Amino acid sequence: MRGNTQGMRGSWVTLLVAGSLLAGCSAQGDDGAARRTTSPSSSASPGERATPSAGSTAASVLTPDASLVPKTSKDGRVLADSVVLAPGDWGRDFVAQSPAESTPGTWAVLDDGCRWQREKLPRGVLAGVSRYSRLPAGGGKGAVTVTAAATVHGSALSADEQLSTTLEEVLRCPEQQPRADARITGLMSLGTPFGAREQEYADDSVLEAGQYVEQGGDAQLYRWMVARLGTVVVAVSVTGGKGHTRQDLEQLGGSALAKMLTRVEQRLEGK
Amino acid sequence: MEPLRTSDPAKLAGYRLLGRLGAGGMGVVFLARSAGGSLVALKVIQAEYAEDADFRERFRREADTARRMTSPWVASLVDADPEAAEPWLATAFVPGPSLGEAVAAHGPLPVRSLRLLGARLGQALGDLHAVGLVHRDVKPGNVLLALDGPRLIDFGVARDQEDTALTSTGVVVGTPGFLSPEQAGGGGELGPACDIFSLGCVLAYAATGRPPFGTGTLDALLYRTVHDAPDLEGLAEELAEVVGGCLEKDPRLRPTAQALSEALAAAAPGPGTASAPDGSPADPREALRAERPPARPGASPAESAGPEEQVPGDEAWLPEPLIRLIAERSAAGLALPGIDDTEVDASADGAPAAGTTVASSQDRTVGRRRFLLLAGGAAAVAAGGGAAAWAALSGDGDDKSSASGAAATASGPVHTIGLHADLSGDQKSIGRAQERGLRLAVDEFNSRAGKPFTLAVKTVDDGGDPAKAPVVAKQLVADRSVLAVVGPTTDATALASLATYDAASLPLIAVSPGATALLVMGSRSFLHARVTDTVLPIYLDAFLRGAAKSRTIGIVDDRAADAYAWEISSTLAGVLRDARQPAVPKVVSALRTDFGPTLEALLDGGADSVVFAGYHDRAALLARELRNCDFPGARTAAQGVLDARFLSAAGDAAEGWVIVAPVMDASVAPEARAFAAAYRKRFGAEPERYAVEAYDVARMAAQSLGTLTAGKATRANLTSALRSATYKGITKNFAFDKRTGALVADGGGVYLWKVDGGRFRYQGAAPYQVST
Repeated sequence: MRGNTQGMRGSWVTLLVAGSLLAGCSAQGDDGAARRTTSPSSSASPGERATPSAGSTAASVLTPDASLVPKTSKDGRVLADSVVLAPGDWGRDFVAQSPAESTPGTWAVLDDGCRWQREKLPRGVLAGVSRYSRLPAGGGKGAVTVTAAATVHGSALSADEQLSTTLEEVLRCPEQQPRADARITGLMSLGTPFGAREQEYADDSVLEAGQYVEQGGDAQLYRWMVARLGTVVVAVSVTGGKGHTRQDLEQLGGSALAKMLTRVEQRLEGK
Repeated sequence: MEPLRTSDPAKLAGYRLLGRLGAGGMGVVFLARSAGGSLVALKVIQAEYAEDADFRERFRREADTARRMTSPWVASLVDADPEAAEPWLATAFVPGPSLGEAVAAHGPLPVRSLRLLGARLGQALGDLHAVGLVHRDVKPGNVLLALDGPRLIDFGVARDQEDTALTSTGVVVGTPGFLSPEQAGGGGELGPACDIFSLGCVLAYAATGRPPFGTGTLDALLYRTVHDAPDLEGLAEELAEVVGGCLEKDPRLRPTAQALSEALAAAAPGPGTASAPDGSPADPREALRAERPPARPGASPAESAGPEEQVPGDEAWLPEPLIRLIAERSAAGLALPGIDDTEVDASADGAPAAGTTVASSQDRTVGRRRFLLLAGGAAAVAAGGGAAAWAALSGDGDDKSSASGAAATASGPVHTIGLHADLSGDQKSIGRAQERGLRLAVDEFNSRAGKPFTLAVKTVDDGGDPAKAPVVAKQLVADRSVLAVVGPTTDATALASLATYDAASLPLIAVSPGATALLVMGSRSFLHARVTDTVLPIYLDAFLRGAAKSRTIGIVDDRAADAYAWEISSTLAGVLRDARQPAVPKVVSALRTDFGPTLEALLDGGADSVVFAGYHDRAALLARELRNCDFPGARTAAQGVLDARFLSAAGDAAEGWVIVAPVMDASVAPEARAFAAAYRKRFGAEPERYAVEAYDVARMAAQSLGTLTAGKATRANLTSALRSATYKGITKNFAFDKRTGALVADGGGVYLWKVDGGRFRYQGAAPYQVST
């Protein structure tokens, strides 16, 4: 990898382009007819693959110092704590939500009814931390709600399967229920492994795009950005409405994720 | 041929100079006409070499030797003057295309042609070696094709010793890729065996279209020549052994020229009556004297050839398109400026120099008669005076990407269709099939009487490497005669080269890539000649809920197949959701090699059928898992699994899999019967997958070119014409979205294949609606 934050940001620009491409396709959304004409995709993804056998992990971004890679829940918790952004890391005016952090030893699982539940961490997952922050409404602009999360796995396969599961969730539930009084709708996602579409910042990544609707409220833009470095998965969500452009919100999420990836790199490479 | 320069004399050594055939380190080669009217290649040595007494002595000795040599398959030495201030030598001029040009323009030669080519070149080398000459630069550019057989040119006389050896600075002046290891290594004596090695390379190239040690950087080529086994894949078994013997690293293990010639001649059917009783290759002069029945008027040689023959015609040793190319060249030769009126009666049949090919009266008569029969309208060239354009004759066609073939004739301008393909990488079977389909379409077009223009083919190979794709795309862009390109082969190479073609407004017609992304990059010159991968789930759904009676479809998205898989899995999930049908989607990490848990999850979810969104290699892993647990339901995938490697990797577990793909099986589809017959005749093989799809788009491109009025045949105009074209092909109806170049889908063009008995068996058109 290019090894600096600037490089990561550059890569995020690419991802965001892919994201707008993906969002652009949703506008066409005319699927359903058994007989389509052109470009009928509800989830067109910019594809590029050369050979069937080249895996997404042909090259790795991270060359960790093995002694620094967490092997216990305790070490995993320490790493996740040090990586996940606190309110102040998002920007000067961000404040903690209530609750400010997830219950230790749990993570979010999408059940068969497309509802998000917190469940105990399964075997193979060492630790998970989510912190919830908020930029209050002001200056004619609506509030921005953000989440930063890190999950530390016992193996790269386990971590990679977290991303597979994320993609699977959108196939299963393009509409999800994060809380009883809120919906995430029109969800689409795009996974981009290292090396594909100029993604050079993480071993793997997933971008989800949709709308967030609270009861009685307007639809807000919703983004969920996930990236994996080795055995660590970091993610951010950004939800914002009135007065915030898509570019602003994606930029906010992109830099937050890049910041966490840099932290993971520093912790695991011992630099 | 280049015109003469102002500094060139009008006459030299009694020859009238007509043009420049080439120039090299030692001097210039002119096309010239003798006082007697025969055409010669006149090589004039720079005076500085002549100052070297040793050189002059060697030149004299070799010229004397060569003058006495009378091999029928060597362009014979007509005359030489080692004593002149600028020594010169004249050899019979052969108007035919070089082997390099011929292969680049028309693809690999059929086995029968290869045998005759090899036997005769072997005989030529045997004759050279017998008088003590070593050629040292046997390569496709030094083999010219005539109607009666090949001619080896540039045969060792007056060749700079450094030409083909490593020089002190490490530069190879000759032709890497056709050098022997002893030449490539720069050491050892360059004996006759180095010519045999080079001939082996030439034959492999003529048989496969690829130099056996690949292409690429000089260092890599030389290294591979010295250390690696040759790439002989695709070479007919009966030739592989002989060619392999020539390519032994140890010169002592290679056959002699005579042994090689005999081995190849033994089984080669001779050219009609010209074949000598002992099976040795015929002398063309014998052939010309032989009585032969007049050809039936109006009958094309192709029609009169037996179905089992790979090359048509009673005595043609080459496939018909090449015979036509030679005939056109010969015709152009006849149209060159005549002998000075003041010296010789232009109509004189004269006494031609012995051994010349084109200008001897016999040759001319036979050559012209044959070409009238074969090439029809090209005869007009002969009457058309000096307007005939010439393609460079001595230019090296060795580089597969460098030559484009047909010379302009009176039948109109030459337009080239490029092929951008993976001819040597992971998907080479698809790329090579597309090349064949394209060549067949072009050959058929060119054989039409009264065609308004002539088509040529130019191929470039990206090896499936996205980094190389834009580089080879630029090669096609740089050739102004290229008006449309078929290809590339894969999603990745197509995406990587789209911008290059767009910037040049060069129409790019993709036959095999399916990525939807190709349509949203804003390319103005792209034409997607198949439905996107996101359309295939409609057919998968129709098959599974229709014929296979599945109630709950399991979807396996393999992340190792990235966007290809995602286009299929995510669209299928959407199709099923919209139809309010249950589905069990599973996304599998690229790091996972055990599909057991995936299958468990499918079964837990109640899936009674499976769609695998991924490629053939990992499909085999899932197939074995499904087999192990006796999964009773239907197993399906898209074109990523339509690959022979799936069958070999999955074995019995592949049985029953159904593939939905935008690929017709032209070997059995009734719509493709005529195509398949022509294909078998042309290539001696069953049509491979994606050949007929490329054939269709080549014909569509020719049709659109035909709608452009003379002078308007530009890339941009062709793009517009193609995007508004409608064309009824064998595989589908073509019409495009004018803005994006997307195929206007009408439900056709997608087919079903089923694994049965270890083979993919064609099931015909895929339905797109669940039958009720």
